[in-house]
Amino acid sequence: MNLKLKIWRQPNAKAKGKFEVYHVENISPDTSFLEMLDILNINLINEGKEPVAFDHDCREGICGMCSLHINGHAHGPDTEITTCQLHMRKFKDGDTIVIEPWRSAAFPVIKDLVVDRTAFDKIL
Amino acid sequence: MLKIESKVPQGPIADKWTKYKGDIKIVSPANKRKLDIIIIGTGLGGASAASTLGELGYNVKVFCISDSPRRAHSIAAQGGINAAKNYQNDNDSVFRLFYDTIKGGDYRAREANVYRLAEVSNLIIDHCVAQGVPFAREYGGTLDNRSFGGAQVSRTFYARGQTGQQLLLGAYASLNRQIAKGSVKSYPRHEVLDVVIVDGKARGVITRNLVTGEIERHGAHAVVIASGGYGNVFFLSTNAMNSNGSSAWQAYKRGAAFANPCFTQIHPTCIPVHGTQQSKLTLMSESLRNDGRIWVPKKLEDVEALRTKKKKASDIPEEDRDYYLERRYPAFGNLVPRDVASRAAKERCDAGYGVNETGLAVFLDFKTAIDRLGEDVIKARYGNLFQMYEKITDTNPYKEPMMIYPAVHYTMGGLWVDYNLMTTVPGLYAIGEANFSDHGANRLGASALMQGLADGYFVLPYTIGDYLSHDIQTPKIDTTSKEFEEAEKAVKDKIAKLLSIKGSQPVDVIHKKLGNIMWDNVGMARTKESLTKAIEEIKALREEFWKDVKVTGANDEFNQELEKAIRLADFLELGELMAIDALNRNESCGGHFREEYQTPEGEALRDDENYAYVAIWEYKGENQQPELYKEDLKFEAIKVAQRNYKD
Ligand SMILES: Cc1cc2nc3c(=O)[nH]c(=O)nc-3n(C[C@H](O)[C@H](O)[C@H](O)COP(=O)(O)OP(=O)(O)OC[C@H]3O[C@@H](n4cnc5c(N)ncnc54)[C@H](O)[C@@H]3O)c2cc1C
Ligand code: FES
Repeated sequence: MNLKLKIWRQPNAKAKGKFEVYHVENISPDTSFLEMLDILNINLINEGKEPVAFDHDCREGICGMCSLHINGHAHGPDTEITTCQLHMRKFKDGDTIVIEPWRSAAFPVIKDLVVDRTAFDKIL
Repeated sequence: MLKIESKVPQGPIADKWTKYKGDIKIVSPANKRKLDIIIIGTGLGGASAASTLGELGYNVKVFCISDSPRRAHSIAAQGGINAAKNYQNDNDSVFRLFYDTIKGGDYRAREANVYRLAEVSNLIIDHCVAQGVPFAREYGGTLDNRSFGGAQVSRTFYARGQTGQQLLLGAYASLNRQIAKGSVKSYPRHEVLDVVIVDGKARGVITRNLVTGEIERHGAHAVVIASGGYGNVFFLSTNAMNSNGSSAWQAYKRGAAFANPCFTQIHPTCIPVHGTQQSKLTLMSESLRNDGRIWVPKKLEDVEALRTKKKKASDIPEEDRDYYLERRYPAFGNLVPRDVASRAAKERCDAGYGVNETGLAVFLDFKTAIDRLGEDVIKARYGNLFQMYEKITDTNPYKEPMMIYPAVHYTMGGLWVDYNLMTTVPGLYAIGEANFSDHGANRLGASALMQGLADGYFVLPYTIGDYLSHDIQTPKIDTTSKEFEEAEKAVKDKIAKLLSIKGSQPVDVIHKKLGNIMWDNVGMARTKESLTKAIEEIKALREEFWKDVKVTGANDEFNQELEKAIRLADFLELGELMAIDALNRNESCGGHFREEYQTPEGEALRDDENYAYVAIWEYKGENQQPELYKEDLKFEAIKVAQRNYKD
């Protein structure tokens, strides 16, 4: 699949962010959403650009480290899963995908798609 | 010259721990307040230790990579935790759990530690129930159990397929209570980059704040490494992406000996690799082998038909299926230990019977169980795993069998520790997967959670007191000393070096190359040739890394490429030590399978005469051959035998 990605880029908490447009090609439908971002990042690094920062760890849908608003939905279009369990077969060839960090004042952006969620640990 | 002393107490095995606890020194509450302890990691090992030591009154600092302690890799543990409760009245006992663990580890673990582990296992269950961990229960309210590999009893406690998560939330809740009380200070998104040794004792760490890049010094009277296992040296594994071997490796380079680095567990039931773009492998819990039956077709034409999608698994009649584990190991069947199950899968796939396009998959089939118990029962037991499988593979495992293949999962090797869980560096402890102590050459399922929590809740809190009782006169550790200075400088220099290379290869590209070398040569089957080749190739790749890696960004910002590069630099050294260790061990045992050493039936052939020891490696400097020490393993409570899962 070939996709157009509109991704929120913000170098740090104080900087002003903006959307950047990228293209990825030949993505297999069996690829996970985060693997698709890995592929984008390798491309960006090869082009001498800064990779997109995003949080993740278990990639099994259990740790809660991954996040992302995808096309306006938290964790994207699939149901009952986190972003790391989302697979590209849920999208169509030629789609434009908008990827943003959590939109919430309680979770300020650290960089790109990474937000500060320490507020959670205060209320738990 | 290292002094290797296991410090195992005298006396009959069943009395050692009780007597020892009575003999060791303790620290008074007034003195505990003056003592600082650093804990690296907040998995089940680190979180249980930190909360318990905080509760005891020590000043604890705890560090982790994720943004909250509760997201540590332990959260991903699925199947369960063992304990010798004998709730099923199936003749389980502390001795039987001890025996199964030693045997499962192919007689390469230290008897006294394993006995203690089995002994405290029952306390863990009570403790976690008191915390409110929602273990699965029978209709009448009593705790339920299931079976795991390498055991003929049902002793595994579980919370659906999310046992690690529930246990970690329990430990995290206790930890949070201490954080609120001020006895524990938590440093999330802080990575430890070196251990500081002063006058031969562990006295602190150097950390990097992962948000700002700031390099910080932290002093303490003792340091505990609970940083997990190093399976990610293979790039693809079931470990979380941030799991790494760096803390253990830094400790090794600072003088802590590393034990049995080559003992790696390849888990038999993982979702097969789908392509070169893959970032990690997903485990399908061993608990599935309670109800799932593993098979491949008997006929090669059926294999062909499956691969070309002319047939589905369900089209192949019963008589044309080879339930090869049940065939080869009638007594344990699908519940043989992991190393045995993984090798058997490899054997069938190497013989051409693999069932997917790549030829690297076997079936795990629930049809018999669904027919017997109904879909609802299976859903209640494994619902989340089935859902995960379906999301990843797009096939419905209630209808068609799962496809699975072995993958790197766990490292039995780790920092060498004595009976007190102390490394060869005084004041430096290692707990959880980071140490080597309890699983020998192969870990049994549901025993890692048991070990991590045993170490953190019930062993370390006692043994560390004995050490610290001799340190009550030592004031707060001065972090302006030349040792801290030197360690901080080394860290900063390393980071500057990595950022200055500006080569052509992204970190992950080199990591994948390392992974391929490891999997092909230091993986499920090893030979003298493959290991010698791996050592050469890793050396060359390490040079390539230091000349050609491309690390984007700067130090003073959130920089994931830099984080990965720092970890990979260590993996590129650790991988070589794994190969050196595997080459030294001229026998097959547990997960370490040297093709030269096997029985005519293809089972691992141990050499107890020459290799009944823990291989302990001491660091000798960059690009120097490490020095080998041996801890001889003596078995007094049990008889050593060839493992037999056939009858
Ligand atoms: C998918 C999966 C399922 C499993 N299921 C089971 C099961 O059912 N039963 C069972 O018994 N075992 C299971 N295991 C094994 C078990 O989960 C692990 O062995 C165990 O959880 C390890 O715990 P730990 O506390 O030693 O380390 P981890 O949980 O790995 O925690 C390591 C901690 O150290 C931190 N850390 C690492 N390096 C640094 C550093 N340099 N600086 C600061 N912090 C650092 C990390 O952030 C983390 O907090 C499973 C493993 C996997 C991968
Ligand atoms: S990365 Fe752990 S839930 Fe997504």
